[in-house]
Amino acid sequence: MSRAKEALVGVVIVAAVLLVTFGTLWLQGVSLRAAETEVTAAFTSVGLIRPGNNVKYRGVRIGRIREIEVDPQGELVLVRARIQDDIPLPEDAVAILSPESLFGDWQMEIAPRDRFPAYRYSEPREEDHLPGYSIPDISQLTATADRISADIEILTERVGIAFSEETARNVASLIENTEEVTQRLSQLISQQADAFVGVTGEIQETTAEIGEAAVGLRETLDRINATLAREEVGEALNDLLAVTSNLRAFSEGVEGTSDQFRMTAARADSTLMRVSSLLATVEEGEGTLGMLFRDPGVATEMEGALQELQLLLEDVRLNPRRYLRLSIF
Amino acid sequence: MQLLLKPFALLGRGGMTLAAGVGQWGRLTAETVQAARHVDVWLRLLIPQMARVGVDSVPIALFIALFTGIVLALQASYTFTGAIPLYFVGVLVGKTMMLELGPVLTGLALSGRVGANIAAEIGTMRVTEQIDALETLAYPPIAYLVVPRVLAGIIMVPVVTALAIGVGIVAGWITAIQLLDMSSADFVNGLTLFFLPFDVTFAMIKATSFGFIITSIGCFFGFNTQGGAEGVGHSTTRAVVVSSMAILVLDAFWALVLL
Repeated sequence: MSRAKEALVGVVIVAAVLLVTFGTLWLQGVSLRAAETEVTAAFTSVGLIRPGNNVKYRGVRIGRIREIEVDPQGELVLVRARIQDDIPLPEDAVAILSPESLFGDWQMEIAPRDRFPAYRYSEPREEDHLPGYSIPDISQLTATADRISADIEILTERVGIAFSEETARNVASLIENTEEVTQRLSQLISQQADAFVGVTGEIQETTAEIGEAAVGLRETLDRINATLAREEVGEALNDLLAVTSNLRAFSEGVEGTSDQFRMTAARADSTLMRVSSLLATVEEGEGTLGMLFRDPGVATEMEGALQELQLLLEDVRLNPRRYLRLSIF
Repeated sequence: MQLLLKPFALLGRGGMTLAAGVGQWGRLTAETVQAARHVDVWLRLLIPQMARVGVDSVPIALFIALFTGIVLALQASYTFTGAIPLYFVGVLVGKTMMLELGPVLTGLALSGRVGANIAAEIGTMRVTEQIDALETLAYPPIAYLVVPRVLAGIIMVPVVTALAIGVGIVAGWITAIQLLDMSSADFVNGLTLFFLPFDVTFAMIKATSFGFIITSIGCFFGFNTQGGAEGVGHSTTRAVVVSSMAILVLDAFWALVLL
């Protein structure tokens, strides 16, 4: 066995060892030049993150996930990563696990807490651990979407049952009616709009006239005020007051007269009632007068009696002594 | 009745032969472990065997890995174009070379080259009674013939496999850049995207076990060679076939156990 052969074996072995060592380090993203530091983030769950996945800060890869383990209390998952030492992380840094693409590769992004304030970050037990939040993976989202689609399917079936051909026809008819009503409303509105324009013009004219009248009224009132301010008017007003006083006294007198007149009228009314009653009795032929009115014979007799009475009176006038005998003593 | 029983008889005989062979191989393995105490016997033979098993096998292993990497990149591109981002070519080439094709193809290549070589060499020594002469001289034949070869296989097959994986990935990388519409950054991004250090460990575990299987089976069939030149040829063939089958079975076993 030559020494060259032995050296060749050694070279092959060393080459393989170096290849495996540096290849593994390179594929893990370990930089032999840049200094690295370890950060640990706490999560309630970690989705599909695995050791070797990228750690990013503002979209730039700064390290890789090294280790994932459940904390001793079993309530949190601790994700350890090695990142570049020269990256200044914010004071309120948080860690977010999210899919890096749609093909199952995940990443851990370090960001200020206020960048995603709506996330419910875990509360780590150690002060130097970052609070973390894991975004639901695509399978959970699709499962939710699946449930929603199932509900929509049920809803669609129910709508299909309720929405028969007759319903469709009714809806079509309703739409046509609505269209017609809409057209009519449109026409009416356009007509009313014209009328409204006319009314508005008239209102404007009227308003202008009222304005002019108001001006005239104001001038008149001014004149009245000016007139009232003069002495003649004051005297006239005093005279008017006196006349008004006299009128009030006259009215009171008339009012008293009216009371008497009212009483007289009442009496007259009563008398007329009696006369009416009497006339009714006469009308019915009751009593002498009634018989006189109702019985033509009585009237004839009455006429005859009257004629005799006239003759008697004539005779009396002519021959008073025959009927009258006047003696003083 | 005899006709009906014949298939079962053949099956039983095959099973017993297999069990006997596995038992004899297990006994040889146990004797190899025991013979490892004769360090002064096998140590000086180790380096030459490492050269024969490992260094001499590097060209064929790298040749296979080179074209495997190229074909992987092209086929991945053909499959992924229009459906999956092309940086997954890097994922496929890296993962496939590390987890499967690197160890298995290297193992199969070495089973043909190294296993056959060992079986033929030891089988010839058996049929020419050289092994009997060693026993007559109180020289431990297993420590002299088997231990250095098995150790060389255990050490050098992972080495050759590591080199083959590296060459295969680099070949796929160059193919992706030169022949496909991919940038180097895309390929590296895919290569590192799902990489786990365990992938390397898995490949090395498989390669080590393949090295042991190839060499131990070669030694076993060589030691049990009977007859003349025909027996040597028969043992050589059987060594290659059985070690190839064992590699595939072991490949499935490790995938089942470790992944």
